[in-house]
This record gives sequence, structure tokens and C-alpha cells, in this order.
Amino acid sequence: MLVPVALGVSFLVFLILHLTPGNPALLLAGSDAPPETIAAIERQLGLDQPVLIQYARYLTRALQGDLGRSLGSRRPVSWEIARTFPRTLELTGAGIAVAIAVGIPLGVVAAVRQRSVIDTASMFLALAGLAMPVFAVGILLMWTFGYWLGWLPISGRGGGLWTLNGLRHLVLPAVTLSTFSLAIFARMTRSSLLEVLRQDYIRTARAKGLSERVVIYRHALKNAFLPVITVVGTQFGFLLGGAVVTETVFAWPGVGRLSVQAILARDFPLVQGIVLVLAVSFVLVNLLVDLLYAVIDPRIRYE
Amino acid sequence: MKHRMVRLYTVVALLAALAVLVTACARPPAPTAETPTPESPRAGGILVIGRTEDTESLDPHRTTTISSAEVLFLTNDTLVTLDYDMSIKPGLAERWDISPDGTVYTFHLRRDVRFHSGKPLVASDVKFTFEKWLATEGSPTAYLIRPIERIETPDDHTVVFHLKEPYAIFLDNLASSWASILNEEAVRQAGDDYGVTTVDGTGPFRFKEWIKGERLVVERNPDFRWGPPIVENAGPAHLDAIEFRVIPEAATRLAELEAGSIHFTGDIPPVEVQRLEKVPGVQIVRFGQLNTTFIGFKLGKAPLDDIRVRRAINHAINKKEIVEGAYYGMAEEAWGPIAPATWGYNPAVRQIGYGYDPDAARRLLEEAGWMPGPGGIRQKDGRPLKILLMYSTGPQSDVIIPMVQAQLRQVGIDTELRLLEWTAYLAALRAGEHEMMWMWVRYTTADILYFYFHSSQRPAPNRFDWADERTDELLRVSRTAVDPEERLRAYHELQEIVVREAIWAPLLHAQGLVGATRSVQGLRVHPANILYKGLDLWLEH
Repeated sequence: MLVPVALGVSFLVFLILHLTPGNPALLLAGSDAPPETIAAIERQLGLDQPVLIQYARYLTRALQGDLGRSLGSRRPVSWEIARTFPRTLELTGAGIAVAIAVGIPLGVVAAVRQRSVIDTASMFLALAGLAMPVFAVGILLMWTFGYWLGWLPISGRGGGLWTLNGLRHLVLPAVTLSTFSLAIFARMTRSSLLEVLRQDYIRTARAKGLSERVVIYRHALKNAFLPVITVVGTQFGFLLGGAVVTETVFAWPGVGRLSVQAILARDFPLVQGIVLVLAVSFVLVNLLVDLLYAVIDPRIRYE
Repeated sequence: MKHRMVRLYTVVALLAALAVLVTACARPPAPTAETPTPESPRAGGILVIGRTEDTESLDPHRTTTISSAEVLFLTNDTLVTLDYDMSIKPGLAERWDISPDGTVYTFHLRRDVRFHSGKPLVASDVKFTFEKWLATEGSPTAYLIRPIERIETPDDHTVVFHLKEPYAIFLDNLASSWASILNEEAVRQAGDDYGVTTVDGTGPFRFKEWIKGERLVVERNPDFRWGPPIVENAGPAHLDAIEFRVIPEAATRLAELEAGSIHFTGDIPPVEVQRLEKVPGVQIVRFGQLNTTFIGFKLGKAPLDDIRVRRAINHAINKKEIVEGAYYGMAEEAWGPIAPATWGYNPAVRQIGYGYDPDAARRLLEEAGWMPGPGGIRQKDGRPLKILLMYSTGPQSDVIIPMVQAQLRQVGIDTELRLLEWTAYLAALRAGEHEMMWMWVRYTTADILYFYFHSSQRPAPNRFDWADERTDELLRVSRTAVDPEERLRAYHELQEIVVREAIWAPLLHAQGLVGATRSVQGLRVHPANILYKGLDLWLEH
């Protein structure tokens, strides 16, 4: 699965990049450069060759683990990604953690106390989380907690996550990134749990005289979690994409921001490298989710 | 009953959310107050700068971005220096001689200059720097010094440049950040890593740390004593260090500035200026910049091949309205291709240029045969007067272009707008797909006229099909004449040609806007780069 996806993605991205108008040599040369300079840069980058030949060259090198060099910084693409991808993982990981830690309990409470104040309030919040664009949430949180209240830093990364300063810098972007997924998890958990609570075996459990606590937490939740886990998996990929906006708003030096810069600068090798790494990690996360199914639901077994 | 309760709760929840929003908007009083400025600069402190993009490279021959130039001016020095009035002053060269025919430049280097690594600056470093520049494959800026034929170093403190032909803007180009003098040893040792992990210069600040995409730090060079004559403090710098932080989002940068966690940022959106000027602790510095925003015409395409139509468009555009609407007055109306502060500016363009006169525009269009037609759009031989205007995202272009469209509509011209992403835009212009085009350009000398109007510059950046022998001759004179008066006359006539032929509709020259906290002192905006050497800057406690 991994290999065809990686190959397909790399070819598609290569094709799209080369078919969209815009010449990286023009950008590298600056608007003041005469045509000879632009032609010289094109030759140096191999951009004067046909697209298919360029792709063949790229693929040959990529298979040997060489993703090429960034046109802008002239550093190896792998170096650029190794530098930024862990930062994005930090942010995405924290975002998912917040979304799970808040979203799922919210959904459980809403389902258990269906049509209560808590249910209405949490679903209202969930709706707001779905409806508000990430950058609006980010700027609102930034001005509120970073500027007016001054509790948290406004932007940037404050160092390693094992330091207090590093953690303080992580809070706002992680919460911002989590809002959309948090809302989805809450709504998903609620509907899934409500569905399960109507099942016969739950009625049986209740008829046996088990306490409501045991019925919900021992019997119902476990089954309600299956669809939720699927969503968590897809949300992880979604968050990697959402990180682009969050990283820009909060000046978080991750791969999302790098990809925006790379696309605007027509830094072909860098864009290809980033997309490839993101695609592969998306596939890996989905694999992980599949394996988790087996752990949670014994009926699912892989040969 | 239950349903009504739910609805009630929803209303309460909504109100609560609203309350949070409202209280969030009420700002407590600002912590900083204005204090009287003490007379003498205080040493120490780290100046934190927020900027949109990171430095590309500190190898001066491999980059063209402003964010690279602003660091290079701090870490490195140039042979000569651009003064605030755009004249050339000494730099690492304390004096120089130019041969009468303008082809031999002899520079006498200062003897007290050392690189950060401790090595003294010698003539061979200068020779190496320029030879490396010319030899860097695909260097985007090497054309600036192409007229160099060979370089000699008769002794350790003399460098002689032999040019193939006189090159009047040679000194100006030597003052650019791309002409920063490098340490031969350091560059040879570092190889490809030079400008990324290793930087060795003679400048007032030493390269300290660079985490790409995050921050770049330079610290005071305590041995620096050779500041150019244009600064008050010849060195060492007052500041301990300067830290550049990358903050791409404007709203975030402004929040950091207002909170005082950064001291300085450029690129203030004009719409924010009025508000920011009322924020205690923040100062907005407005400064003149050499830039021009214009509409260019593709002369090879009808109906723009008719000079009457081009002049009519010039008359139909209300520049004053655009300056007010798009820049809130923080720009100057443009009458010719270059800004008044440029050396070589011809004040006569104010008289021969085109003022807002819709009646004159209508008259000219009718002379050209474009008569009023259905829907208020003029037509000739049954064809409506429809002209394509291509543009991209740039300073205020999203406001300017619709205003131009509305103004042209007033005289019966139907403007079809096409917005393209920047690289796609440049490619489309190069391919000649435009009829009218928007552009914004910054420059330091009137040589920008060569860039845009020499016939050899077609199809881009001469995107106007302008090929004229007289123009080419004047441009040759402007570059090669030894007598400054002769060059001045050439520049004057060139501007007259551009205006009379209505090759452009010049729109405006925008002011530069930077924001700083009030603690930043000694800020004087330099025309080449805002901070320039950073020698006079200091931070109040």
C-alpha cells in the first residue's frame, strides 16, 4: 500500500507543479534580472529539460534516498524536512491530545445526559468549533490569552517541550489546532454512544441489574469507540493539513509553514519532498488505526 | 415545556459566548508610558525584530531577498557606502580614483579592518569576492558587475578594477549588499556551508545563531571601529545583539509589537496606521522610499497602439482618489516613472504629465474614433472598448485595481480584470498575454529606466514593446557617460519620453511604514535598507 501511494503521490505532485504556470528561476533571479541570468539558472536547475526526464531523474535519486536540494536554501530537502517535521508532529500530537482529552469526554457526557443543559452546551460548542475557521480561532485566542490577559506567549516556539517555556508556547497553537477535531470527536462520540445505548445487549446489561456506570463505561463505550478511532486516524492527517494555517498564524516553525513558502517560491524539490513525507505518514497512521481495531475488537484479526 | 427550556438554554449559552467575546475586547490600560528621551545613547540590550520571511542565504551571491540584505548589511561591509541622500561615501575603501575615461577604478582600503575571525582585511579578499561573484553559476545578481574585465592587487591595500567600458552606476552597485566583502579563507574552508552555518564579515555585528524559519541572531562586534562617515557612531554598536524572528502573519506581528515582545517590524498595513499611532508605547515611522506603482501598456496590441487611448487612460485615472482610498494618504501621486527623491528625477514631468481630467479623456477617445455606445461603453466599428488589465497580489493592489476599473468606466472604457498568482503572473507577462498590467517596483537609482525601457529588455521586464533608438542611446549615455551633467540630461529626456509617449500610467509612490516600540532610539531609515549598519540604534530601558 505504502509504495503505490508514495509513487502515485510523487508523480501527481510532480506533474501538477510543472503544469502550473510559474517559473522558479524567475523568483530566484529576482525581478531585476536580465533574461540571460534566468536562462542560466534554469540550466543549472535542469528546468530546461522535458518534464518526464526531470521526473525520471528525480525518481532515480529519490529511490536512493536523495530527495534533492531546496532551490531556495540550497540545503538538502531531507535536512529541511528533518528540521521542521518533528515540530509539526509536536503540534499535531498536542492538538490531537487536546481534542481527545476534551472532545471524547464531552461527547460521553452529552450522550449520557442527552437533552440536558450539558448536552446542549457541549453540542453548541462543538458546532462553533466546526463553524469557525482555524485562523479566526487562532487570532481570537492569541489576542485574548497572549495580549490582553498576557498569560501565554503570543507566537513562536519557545524551545523543547520538556521546558516550561516550550510548553507555554505550545498551548495556544495546540488548542487552536484542536478545535475542529475536538468538535468532530465530541459529536462522533455522542452519536456513536447513543446508537450503542439503544442496542439489545445494553438493555440486557441493564436488566441484569448492572449499575449505569458499569453499563456505560464497561459495555457501551468500548463498542462506541470503533468509529471514533477511525475518525481520530483521519483527523490526524487532517490536522497535518490544518497545521499549515495554525503554524502561519502562530509563527510555528513546522513543515506546514515550510510547505507554504515552498509552494509560493515554486521550490519544486522541497514541495515534492514534503508531500511525499506527509503522504507516507498519513498511510502509516491509517495502518496504526487498523491495528488498533484489532486490539479493541477481537473479532477483527489480520492474517 | 422541555423544548422551551432547551431553547432558553441555547439563548443563555449564546449570550455567555457573546459576553466572553465582549470582555475579551476590552483592553486594560497599556503598561508602558511615554518617557522623555535621554540625550546620550545607552549601550546594551537585544533588539528583537519581527519580519515576514526568513533570510534566504548569507552568501551574498546566491540571494536577492530584502531579508537577506538586511542581515548582510549588519555582518558585512562594502567598499563604498550609500549615504542617506543617495550619494556615495567611503566604506572599506577610504578613497578611490577613477581614470578620466571611466574604465579604471582604484580603491585604497582602510588598514585597520579585521574580519570577525581576526584576520586583517587585505586586497586579495576583495579580488576574491568579486571573482567568486562573477563565477557563481546562476548568481542572480552577477549582472550588476558584468562590465568588470579584470581585477589587480598591486599591494595589500590597493585594488584596481579594469572595466570593459565606462559604467556610471558601478559605485552604486558596489554599495549594494550583494557586493559585501568576504573573507577568502572562510569561504574556501566552509565551501557550500558558507552563508548557512559560517559567516565571516567585517561588519558591526557577528553572525551568532540561525535556526531556519525561527530566528537569526547577530551580536555586537566589539572590535568594530570603521563605521562609514554617514553614521554618528563609528563603532562598536550600542546594541548587544539583534534578533530577527520570523512571524509571517501580519496580525500576529502587530500583536507582538503592541505587547512589546518585539521592538520593530516593517510592512505595516496602511489600514492599521491610524489605530497603531494611538497605541501607547508604539511609534510608527513613515519614510520616503524609491518605489513606483504603475499601469503599463502593451503598445503592440490594439487599442493601446493608439497614443490617444493611452493618454486618455492617463487622464481618466484619479491618482489622488487612489492615494487616499488605498493608502489613506500615505503615498504620493506619481507623474513620471521614477520618484522625486531619485537622483536624476526630472521635475518637469509634473507639467507634462497627465492630471485627472475625464473630459480630456473623453475627447481623446472620440478623436481616436471611440464613440459612446450601449451601456456607456464606447465602441468603434461595432467593437466595444474593452481592455484587459492583469495584476497580481501586491501592495494594496486589491484596492487599487478595482478603483482604476471604476474610474476608466466613467469615460466609457470596459476594463476586464485578471488576477494571477505572482509566479504565474510573471510568466504570463513574459508570454505577452497582457494588454494593461499592474506593477510595483522598488529601486535605488534611475537605472531602473534601463531595466524597463531598453529595447534589449523585451519581452520582460520591458513588457511594453517599447523599442526606440533615441531611448536606447540615452540609456547608453546614462550608463557610460563620465560627466554627471550629461547623465542627468539623459535621465531627464528619458522621463520626458516615457511620459509623452504614455508608455505607462504612473499611479503613485508609496511611503514606507515601520512600527517600533518607543524604547527604540536612533532609528533613521536608510534608503538601501531600513536598519542599514545598526550602529546608531539603541534601546531605552
